[in-house]
Amino acid sequence: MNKRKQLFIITGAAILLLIVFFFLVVPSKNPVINDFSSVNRPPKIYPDYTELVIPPNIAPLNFFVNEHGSRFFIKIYGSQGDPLEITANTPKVEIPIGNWKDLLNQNRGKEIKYDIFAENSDGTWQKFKSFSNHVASEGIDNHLAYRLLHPAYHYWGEVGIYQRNLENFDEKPILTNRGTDHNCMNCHSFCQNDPNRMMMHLRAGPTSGTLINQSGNIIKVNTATAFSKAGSYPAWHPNGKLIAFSVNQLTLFFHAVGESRDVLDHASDLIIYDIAKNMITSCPEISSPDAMETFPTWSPDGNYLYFCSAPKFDSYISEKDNKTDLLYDQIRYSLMRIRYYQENGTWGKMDTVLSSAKTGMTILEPRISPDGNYLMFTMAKYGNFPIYLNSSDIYILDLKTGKYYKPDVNSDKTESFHSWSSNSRWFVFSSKRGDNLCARPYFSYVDKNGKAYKPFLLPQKDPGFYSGFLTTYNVPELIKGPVTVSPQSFVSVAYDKEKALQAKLDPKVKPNQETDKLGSAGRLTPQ
Amino acid sequence: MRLLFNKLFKENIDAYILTPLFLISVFFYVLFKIDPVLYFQRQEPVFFLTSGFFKGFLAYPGGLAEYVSLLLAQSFYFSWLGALLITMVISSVSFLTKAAIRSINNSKQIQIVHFIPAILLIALHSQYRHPLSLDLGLLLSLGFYFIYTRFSFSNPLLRITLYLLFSVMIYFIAAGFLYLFAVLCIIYELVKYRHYYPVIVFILLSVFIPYICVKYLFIITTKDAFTYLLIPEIDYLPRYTPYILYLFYPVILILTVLYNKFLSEKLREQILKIFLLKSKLRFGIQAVVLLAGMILLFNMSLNDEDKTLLQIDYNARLGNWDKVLELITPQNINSKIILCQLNRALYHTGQLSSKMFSYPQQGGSDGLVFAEDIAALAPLLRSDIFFDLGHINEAQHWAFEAFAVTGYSAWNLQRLALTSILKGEYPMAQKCLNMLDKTLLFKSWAEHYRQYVNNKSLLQNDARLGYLSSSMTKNDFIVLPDYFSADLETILKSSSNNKMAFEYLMADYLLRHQYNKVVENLDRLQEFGYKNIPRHYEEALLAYSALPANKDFDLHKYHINPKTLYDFRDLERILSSFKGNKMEACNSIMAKYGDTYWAYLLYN
Repeated sequence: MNKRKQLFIITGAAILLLIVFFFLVVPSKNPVINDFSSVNRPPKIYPDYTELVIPPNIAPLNFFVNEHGSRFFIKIYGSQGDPLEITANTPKVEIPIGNWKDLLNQNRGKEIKYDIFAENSDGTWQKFKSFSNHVASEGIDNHLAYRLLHPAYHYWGEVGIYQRNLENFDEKPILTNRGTDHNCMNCHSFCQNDPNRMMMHLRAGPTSGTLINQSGNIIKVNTATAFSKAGSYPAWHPNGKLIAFSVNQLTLFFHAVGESRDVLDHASDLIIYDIAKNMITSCPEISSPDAMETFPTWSPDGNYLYFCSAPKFDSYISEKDNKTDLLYDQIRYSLMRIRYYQENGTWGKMDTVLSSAKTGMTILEPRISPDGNYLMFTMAKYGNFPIYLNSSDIYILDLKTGKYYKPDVNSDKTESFHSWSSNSRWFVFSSKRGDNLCARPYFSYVDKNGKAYKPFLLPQKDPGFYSGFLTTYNVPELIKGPVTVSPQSFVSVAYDKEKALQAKLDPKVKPNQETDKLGSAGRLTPQ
Repeated sequence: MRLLFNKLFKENIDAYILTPLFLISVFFYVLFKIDPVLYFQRQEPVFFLTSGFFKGFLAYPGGLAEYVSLLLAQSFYFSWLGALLITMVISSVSFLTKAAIRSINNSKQIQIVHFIPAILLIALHSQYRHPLSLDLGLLLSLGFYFIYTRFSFSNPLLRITLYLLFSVMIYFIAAGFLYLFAVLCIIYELVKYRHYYPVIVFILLSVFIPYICVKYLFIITTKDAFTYLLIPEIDYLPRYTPYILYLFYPVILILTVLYNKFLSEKLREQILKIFLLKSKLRFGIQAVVLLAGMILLFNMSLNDEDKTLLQIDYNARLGNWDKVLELITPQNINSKIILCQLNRALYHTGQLSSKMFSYPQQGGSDGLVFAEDIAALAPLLRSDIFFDLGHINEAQHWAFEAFAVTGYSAWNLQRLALTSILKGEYPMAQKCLNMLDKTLLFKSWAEHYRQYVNNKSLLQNDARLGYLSSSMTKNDFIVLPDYFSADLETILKSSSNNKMAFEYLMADYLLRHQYNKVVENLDRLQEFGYKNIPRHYEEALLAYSALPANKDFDLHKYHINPKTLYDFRDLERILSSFKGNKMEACNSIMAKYGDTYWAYLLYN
């Protein structure tokens, strides 16, 4: 290669580097907008992140400006710290994470404001009415665990349980079914938002069973005994030693109009699994043949087991004029609770906390705030599977006054599964308000008086993420940190036949002659 | 000139005549005999131009080969482009096979051996589920082996380093195909360098890499870690073809070594003499052997029944109902799926009520909508039927089931977009259209139907969707999968103009021998604008009238065709001539009236 050629190549490379440097490293200058017209309304943005209460540790709330404009200028500022200025050549607004965190941290307990300007085609600017968000003093548990799957019908494809860091956009799998022979997995559950104490069910195939992780010690157990089939909906006792399960016999059926899916529970009971003893127990009050008991949850002090109960399935079968009819739309569950004596593992009196006769609706999915003040539940017109019911909404029961109310977080579409943050100030719930089919996690702040504030959608790095995402977020659970056990460890235990445990039945519990009539917990779970 | 001719064509007759001839025949065989568009029909490959779609394939070894194969498989949408792609793959495999053999034996006299894997690969392509990722894995292993042999480092440490680098790359891209590469490299190492310790390292690495991946890096099963992509999950004809293909490489390399090592020079010369016949003769023999091998294997591997089914499905998807009827004969109705397509085609060509019994309706009601137990085989077809029937929720339900079986394929998305538009669920429709907009082939479709979102007047003006919008069921009821006629009756109560629901309901009654219900529904013929009573309904009426208690029924301004009446009297006469013994009369009745409802009633 002659010298001239070498010089030519070196010069060319240097110019190219300079160009790259110019475009990548030198920050683009924000426009100075001295002259603009005012639009007397806030801008339309998607997702709707206006007038919210937001956690101080949430990832940037990136959004689209759904307004005409060839260029956009966004200024986010609070009473403290440097304002955050973004110029966008498209309506997509991606907020730099570092500056966003600084701004939120410096404005805890205060407002931050958004000024949005759009440049018209003639080069003039218009400014929309500013909107604000209130940065709460209390943070939200920094991880969210959920299952991702196609909207479920009879068959399933790829299923996985994932965790998302809410302080940024990192999403990691806890376990996916590519590692477990493409089986189904569901009902991931944590003890008091603790990522180190979790469980999940694996359904079908060689890995079937319930995986329980206690600080890295993972076991797989088959909770089916002579008393019942395997457990389904779980609830950890606060002591971390017991898990209450419902045992359900679910059948999917279909409607010809509207949301096509619906579910019948033909029979259900509650059982308690003692992890250390590897033992299943129950008591007649929570496994009555005359009632269907489901959706267990413990009071934070561990002294009460709350659950939902409806009269037995047969009581909804009507025989009229030689015609048998199932009054499925009249199946309604009431909220019950039973005293549990932790010191000796015995049960006390059962009472009705909130009756479906009183509310006129079915009461499902109770969860009590960790401070013990509020019980959140879903109510729908009928049935036991709120995620498929458009009428399903979130309600709150004040445990001190016994009064329940509908917080202002609901939509005309399905609101369903919910989970409290460990500090009781935040909760996440599933909502189908976006497209009426795929559930998405929404977060809401709850103040000390039990007032819930406008909910907001789980933020994504690309605000257009949801517009082409047909997968549903299922069972969102807030946790205080990441699940550190690797997916491979779960896979390893799932396949380990020798270490798989078979739960024993408490000798005090009589085997159930009707076990065969109870289906396995099935593959359906509340979403 | 003559010298050049000799040089080019006589000495290299394989390269200049045999290979092009082989590849041309491959192209036309794939184009006309296999027809790549049927791969698309079977596999519904979809490719999205999004980073999220790409990222999904990075989550497991072999994902990248699948990603690229999905991209390439878009060419199957066009027969000629698909055939061209497969021909290119075949030619690359032949080239790399030749190079692999030459890596051991530098002789130029490879003859036709290098075509054997290509022929085996075409045989694999005769199975319409055959994944293109297998081809890519094969190409990748051979390609990396080719590069590996070209480097030919004398320092074993360098060879080990190169092997490590390549094997990690192959494993990440094509998973189990690491083993083909490993076997070739091991043989090469033993033959060329006769060093044993690199071989041991190669073997250890080949176990170690997948082990590390399954243990620490990817969420996969141990089986997948070692065999993914290499061991296909589909049944080929003959069953062991892929394994013969894989075994070919070590076997041919070992044979080459043995040939060089153990045969005396004299013997080798004699063998060569046999093969190195005069060019023309050699060419002729090779061509004949090649052709015979191809014909034999291709005949064994192509499943004609599967091909016909796919052709039927393909034409049904395009709405080529006459072509569907052309493809279906009474002899090839061997599944309920074909029967369902037949009855759909008969309805869409206006012949269901007059010709359905010209075909064996042995599936009974399942021939209208096949039962749920086999629905996993063709969930989208089940959705198609419900869509045609205006049973939109069920069409949507089965489109979602199809998602679980075939993934987010374009057809599944199209169906979901249309059902959502019809249901007025526009955000969901938008979502599907957004996804289709990111595909290579269905952008314009998405663009077209995006106009229908929030635009009911456009919907009403669309011939098909407008009709479906007006005829779809409006009142809710619980779907009863085992009682199809009950669903149809309920649909008809709320959608009085739903002609397909009516004809399917009548067909269901006929198939269930409930011809009294056909009589009960005669009054509805006027609602649907029938000028005459369709032939099979007439046959049902006459059969009904023959029962002692059923003499009187209302024909509602219609009359029975004298020809049908005459035929019925004739059939009665034939039966009487056999003293009412229908089994003895079977041949006579089937010969004359085998295409009537009466024959179905008597013999089904």
